[in-house]
Amino acid sequence: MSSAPESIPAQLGAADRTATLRDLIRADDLSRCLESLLRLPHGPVGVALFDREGCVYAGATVPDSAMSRWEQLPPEAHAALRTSTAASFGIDDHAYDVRVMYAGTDRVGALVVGRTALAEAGIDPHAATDVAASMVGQLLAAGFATWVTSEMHLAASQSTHRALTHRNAELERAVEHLRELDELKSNFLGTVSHELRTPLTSVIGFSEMLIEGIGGELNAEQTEYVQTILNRGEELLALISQVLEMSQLEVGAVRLDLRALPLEKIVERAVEALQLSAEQASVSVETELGVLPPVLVDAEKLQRVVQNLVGNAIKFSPAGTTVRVTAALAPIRKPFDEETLFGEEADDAIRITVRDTGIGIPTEQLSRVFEAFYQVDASPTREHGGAGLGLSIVKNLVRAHGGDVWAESEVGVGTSIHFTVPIAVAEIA
Amino acid sequence: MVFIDIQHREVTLKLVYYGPALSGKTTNLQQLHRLFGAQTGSNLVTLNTRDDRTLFFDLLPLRFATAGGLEIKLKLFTVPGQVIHAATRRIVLQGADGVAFIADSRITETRSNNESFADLRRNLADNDIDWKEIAVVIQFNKRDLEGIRSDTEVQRIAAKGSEPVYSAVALDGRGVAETFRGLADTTWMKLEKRYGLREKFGVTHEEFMRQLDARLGPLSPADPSGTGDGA
Repeated sequence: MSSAPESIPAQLGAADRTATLRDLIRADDLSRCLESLLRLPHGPVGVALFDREGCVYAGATVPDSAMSRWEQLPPEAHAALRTSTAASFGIDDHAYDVRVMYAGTDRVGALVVGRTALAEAGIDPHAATDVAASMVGQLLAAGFATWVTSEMHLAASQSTHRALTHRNAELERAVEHLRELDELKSNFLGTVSHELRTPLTSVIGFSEMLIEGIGGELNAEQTEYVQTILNRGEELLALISQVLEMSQLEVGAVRLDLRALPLEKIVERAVEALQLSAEQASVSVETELGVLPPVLVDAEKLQRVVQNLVGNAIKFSPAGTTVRVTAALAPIRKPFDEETLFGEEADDAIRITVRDTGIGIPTEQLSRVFEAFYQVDASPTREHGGAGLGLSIVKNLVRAHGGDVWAESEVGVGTSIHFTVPIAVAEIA
Repeated sequence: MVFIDIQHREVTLKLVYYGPALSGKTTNLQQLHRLFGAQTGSNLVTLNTRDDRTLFFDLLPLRFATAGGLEIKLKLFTVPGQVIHAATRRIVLQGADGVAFIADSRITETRSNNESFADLRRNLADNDIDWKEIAVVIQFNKRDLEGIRSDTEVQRIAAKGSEPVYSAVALDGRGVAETFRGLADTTWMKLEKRYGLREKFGVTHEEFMRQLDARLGPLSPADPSGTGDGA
């Protein structure tokens, strides 16, 4: 036989909680209101308001009467006042009226009004009590409305806060989990790439030996086959190197060897390294750098950035066109594309731009080109190869230098990729 | 939008101090509270987070009566400058009659100023407040720090826009009253043009400013050298 569920004390909702009289009326409002009553001719000679704790307000016009000693009433009198209903009684030559005060549906206190017992002709003896009760009632009604509203707001904020805290904790756990997974993925990619490179080195090395005739003379057809193996092997090696580099960047394993260096030499080296592919694609590369202060960079990494960008530009440029590399002093952050009333930012960096006259990138895809593995043309029939890692590596390397990178493009006209690197301040000073 | 109670002859203006995080909006209000405090008896309502930065908003209520018996209430708000409090900024801006944009004068803060100014324009538009209808003044705060825009540059920036521009060091009160005075002045003129307050209540722009000046006391000298500081 199943037992009945245990009763759990119900948590009172904000709207159902009971306020104390002191929560609802400010002491100064109360005295202002009741003191004015005591000043009335033929008005009450003493007024007091009690709540569960005791006397909240006491005032009297007759010194040395029971009414000037409300606070000193014995505890049983206070208890009686707490539980009493509306009543009237007399002590000595004074008459007393008691009125129960409510806030909402709850009894919050008792108002006691004292008057002289002598009834005056034409004056309702209870009129002053009713006026006092009505005034305190008004104060209570206003106070109760404010109190309930604030309680509800407070409860709503607390409940939202609890929900948010709970959700945040969940999200933090999820983020932590994802971070671990991401690190695992990067480590896995790193290990696999490394393991793939080792056998590939043999494939490339032995192909080269075969072509050079070390294992005996090859006929033309055999040479062509081996050359294809060598070319594809080198492409695969380049791809694996990119994946390895990307995974290292993602786990933050890349250290920069920052030095103040002239930009020209780095760009020159990058362009030289791409001379062959530029010739093969019949695309020329022009650099216009001008006279610039040295930059604070890791030469090898910056060369990699320029090489990736220029390599990409060559890949997407039609034969017979030119890829241009330019540089200028600029603020380190991407330009603010709204009103700049407060002036331009200081030129604390060098902005390098690689511009091609290729197919261009649609605007809606511009911001995504720096994501890893993102392909503008992801169709299976796409014309240009690659893993979609080049620009992601560029972004990570530029950001590691404290710079910014962004793209501008017009479909059919061409694409410009801009990035910034900091000026070596100490060097110029 | 300005709240006009014709029956009780009351006009309530809402003025908002806007700007990037840590530019000195709350400091401006604290200084004004110090200036007005004794006369208005108003309390500065402020809700700070642990690190002394504004979480919701600050509110400084001021009230005074003009010669024509019109009761003027000014409600001065600040918004939290941090980027994440965008929703609060939008809500506080609802129904604003005037905005004082508190910019950080340091050159390194140019981007934050520009971004916050663009944010102000967007939030006003979201609240259906026309940029041309609302009074906006700009304060270049922190003029005592290193690496700031020069006075010439500030003048050049001032010449670019149509908003009145003031220089300030809010921490020691310099320029705070001037900015507030300018804001109240511009706001009243815009409202006068739109609602004809003079015709409705018989209160002139001069009378409004006279009452305000009587409560602000003498303004600090324009020359930041500090002469006549009352020392």
